Amino acid sequence: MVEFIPTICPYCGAGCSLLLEVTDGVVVGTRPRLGHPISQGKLCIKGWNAHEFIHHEDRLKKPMIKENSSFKEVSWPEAIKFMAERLGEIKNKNGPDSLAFLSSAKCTNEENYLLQKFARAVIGTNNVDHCARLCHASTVVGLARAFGSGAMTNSIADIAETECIFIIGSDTMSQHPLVARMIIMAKEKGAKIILADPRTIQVSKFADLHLRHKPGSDVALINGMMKYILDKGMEDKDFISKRTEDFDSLKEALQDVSLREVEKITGVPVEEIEKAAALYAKAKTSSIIYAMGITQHTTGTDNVLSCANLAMLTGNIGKPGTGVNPLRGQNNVQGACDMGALPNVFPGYQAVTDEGVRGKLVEVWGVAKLPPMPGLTVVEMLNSVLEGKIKAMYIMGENPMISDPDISHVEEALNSLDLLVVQDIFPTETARLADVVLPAASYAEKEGTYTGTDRRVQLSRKAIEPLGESKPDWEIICELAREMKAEDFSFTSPEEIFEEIRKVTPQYAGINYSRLNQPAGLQWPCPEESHQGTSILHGKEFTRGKGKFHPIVYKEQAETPDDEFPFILTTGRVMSQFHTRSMTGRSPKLDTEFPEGF
Amino acid sequence: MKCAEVIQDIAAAILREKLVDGVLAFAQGVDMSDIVPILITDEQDARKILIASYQPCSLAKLASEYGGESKKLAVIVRPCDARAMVELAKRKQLDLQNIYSIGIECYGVAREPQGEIYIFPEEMLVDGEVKHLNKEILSPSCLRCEYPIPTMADVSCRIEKDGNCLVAANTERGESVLSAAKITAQEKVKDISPIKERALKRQEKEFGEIKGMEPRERLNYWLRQFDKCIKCYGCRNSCPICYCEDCYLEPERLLVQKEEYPPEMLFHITRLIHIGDSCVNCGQCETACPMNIPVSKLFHMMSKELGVLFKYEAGLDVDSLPPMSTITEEDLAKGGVGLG
Repeated sequence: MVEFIPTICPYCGAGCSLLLEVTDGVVVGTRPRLGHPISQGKLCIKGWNAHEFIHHEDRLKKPMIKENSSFKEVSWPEAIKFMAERLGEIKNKNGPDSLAFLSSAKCTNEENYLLQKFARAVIGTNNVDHCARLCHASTVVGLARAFGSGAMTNSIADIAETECIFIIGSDTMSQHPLVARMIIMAKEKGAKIILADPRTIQVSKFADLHLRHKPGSDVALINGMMKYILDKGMEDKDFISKRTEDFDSLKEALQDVSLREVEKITGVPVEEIEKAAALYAKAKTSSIIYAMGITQHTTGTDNVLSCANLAMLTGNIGKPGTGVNPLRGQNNVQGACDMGALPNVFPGYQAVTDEGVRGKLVEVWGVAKLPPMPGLTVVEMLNSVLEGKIKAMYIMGENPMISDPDISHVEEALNSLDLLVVQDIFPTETARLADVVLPAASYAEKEGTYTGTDRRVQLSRKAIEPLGESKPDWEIICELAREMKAEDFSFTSPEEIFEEIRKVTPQYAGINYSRLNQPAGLQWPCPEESHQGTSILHGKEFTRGKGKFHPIVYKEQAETPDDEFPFILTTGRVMSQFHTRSMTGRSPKLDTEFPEGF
Repeated sequence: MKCAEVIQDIAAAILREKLVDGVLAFAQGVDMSDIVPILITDEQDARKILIASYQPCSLAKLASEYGGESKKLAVIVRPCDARAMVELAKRKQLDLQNIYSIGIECYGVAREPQGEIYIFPEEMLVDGEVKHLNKEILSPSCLRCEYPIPTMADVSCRIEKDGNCLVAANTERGESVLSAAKITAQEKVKDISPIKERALKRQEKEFGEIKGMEPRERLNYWLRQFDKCIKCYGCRNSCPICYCEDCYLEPERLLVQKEEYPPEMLFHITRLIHIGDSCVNCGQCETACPMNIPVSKLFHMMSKELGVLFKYEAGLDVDSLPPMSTITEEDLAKGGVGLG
């Protein structure tokens, strides 16, 4: 028996679809899916080998509880009972805010939704966050402030249609290869490519202009470009007056900017800054693409706001071929944010501080009350553990022992918890420190939806049964919640969970599983069932009404080189490994391609 | 009877009569824009088979993966698939005695899904009006294809312009397939010389553009194309002729430097040397390439060049071995590529 099951690639946020080739219950290969709007029958090396880790011998197949520093295999009922008791005890003794939850950008929307619901409705804490904190939290905040929505404004395919692309802080060919495809297609149709990146990367070969600015000087660079655009009168006056507000504050902030000074800060010659500004401003349509190169800074939010300023200044937003386009790192990091796996918002970015929203959710979730104050972020959680405030952590599909900064700090924190639960598919570096390890099913073993970087909600199908005794994360959360006598965790399928998601997430209200039965999925916002989804945001008006300019003044990085620490280090990604390599490191074809560097 | 129905009937019959254990074909995925491969083992499922307007992958490659002595297969093929199977048979990757090939006459498939068009004859009656195949949407390799009729397949099916299907048996095995399906062969000779002429003209144009370049310019053209390569291995993975389990391009073979993007030219050249004599111009490599590198053009051009030198055409005769395995020192001297 051979079957080809359509799933969503478990790696980057591009949202490629692939067919898992299943022979007698074993996933033996991956094939591209030609009918899919993003992958279009093509894949990168990670996609082509997305099946390799599924049956790896390291897969966790039984729940385990640590006893005298070694793990003992236990039955599911035993594990669930143990956790329910321990979580209950800690909550009763230290209060709900002594527990913290890390959700996962690798899990489905349904699972992320359930984990934050469990934290908020069953435990009663907003201490839920996930690794978006370490990558694009600054995007979510920055773009929401400027536009009212913290997501990619345009669509991936739309990039191929633009006349000018400004890439800043994105090694697109390594990080999002199938998005880079659109850049190359645009280039071959005659688009100009401006690359701002300190390193020489593969995109450099196709860039009409490569600005090698110093790491951390992004705000200065963009301010320089805007200054020149204003000086030469190349701004879109009509757009600014009709669609935006607070332009004067930006203008004022730019008044003191001198391009000579910018050259000194960035290391980019004035002429090149001017050239870049002119190319971007004069093209009929210009698109900004960025990624962690600008968000992973102490000034990450400023960098994002600067991109928003530049786009609004030239009217390059709200129409095809334009936009501010953050490329999200993981296959469901957009979805995990959408689902409210963040300490300050419920699903659909509704503030936890908003009483009206809480009132609505109290009803749907069948609870007496919900916590009104924002919870702790990933970084704050670990600090709070060491301050003795957090006693238990529940980590679903994350590996902070590799992904977080300052690993010895993370280790110290995790080791000092009263209870650490790790739910994962592999015995990660983090799982080794856990008191309870729960074996989760991989993406191939469950159904559910993932939301790609261009807000595309897609349905991934189940290819095989969960391996060993592993279970899909949503089932585990439901079982635990029921053990803790929670109402409303009686879901029997991801589709049932999705139906509840629609009720509480305005952007997803019009989406249902039968509508997702098409290769393209649906792009949110999709407010009602007759709505076709939204490929370009902020068309007639911004989500927040008018686009808001923010005067951003260049600030130095928190730490700059000195005699003692003379180097500038920067983050990056390589083609064939992914994040903490818990999956790619167990895929022989990928690991052999890039065995070093971790 | 419509072509898809004829093929469904044939598939059901040969499964019922136990001529084969499975039928490899294409079927609808989640909706009609989504065509996926399918391996049918139950005759009831034969109705799922459809004739796609595009070629999501090489069924020849899947046949070599799934077929075998203990698992006899039938494969619904385009002429390029049939030719790829001949090449795989030469390389002992499949035994044509274990595979029935049911061919569909093909004048080109679309580069990408094109709505609900599922048959591709040269012309078609739509609401009483003759519509010609839209060449604009065709895959570039199809425009260069000289082999619209799957004469190497056991059975060939021709879609007439009214949508009906004419069936012919090319081999004795093909006759047994038709008799199992109780279908009468309707031979009707078709002059394909205009197609061939058009294809050769197209080749001349496309290859001519490359050959017309100065050597340095030509090299630069290809280097520029290879600069886009992200080493996804999609061209190799999709190529029906690339069969080596232990491939020279893998990093552990130390031929191509790992951790390097774009990979050095050797990546492409090695594959070209290895199978460039046997390209059947199916275009799968190009379909799989995320960066639109015209790989198929390069390989097709190379195989045509070698074909002239060695009087060899890939994919037609299982007994005619590729030049790389039959080459003599005398041959080497002919092309001015002597070793001395």
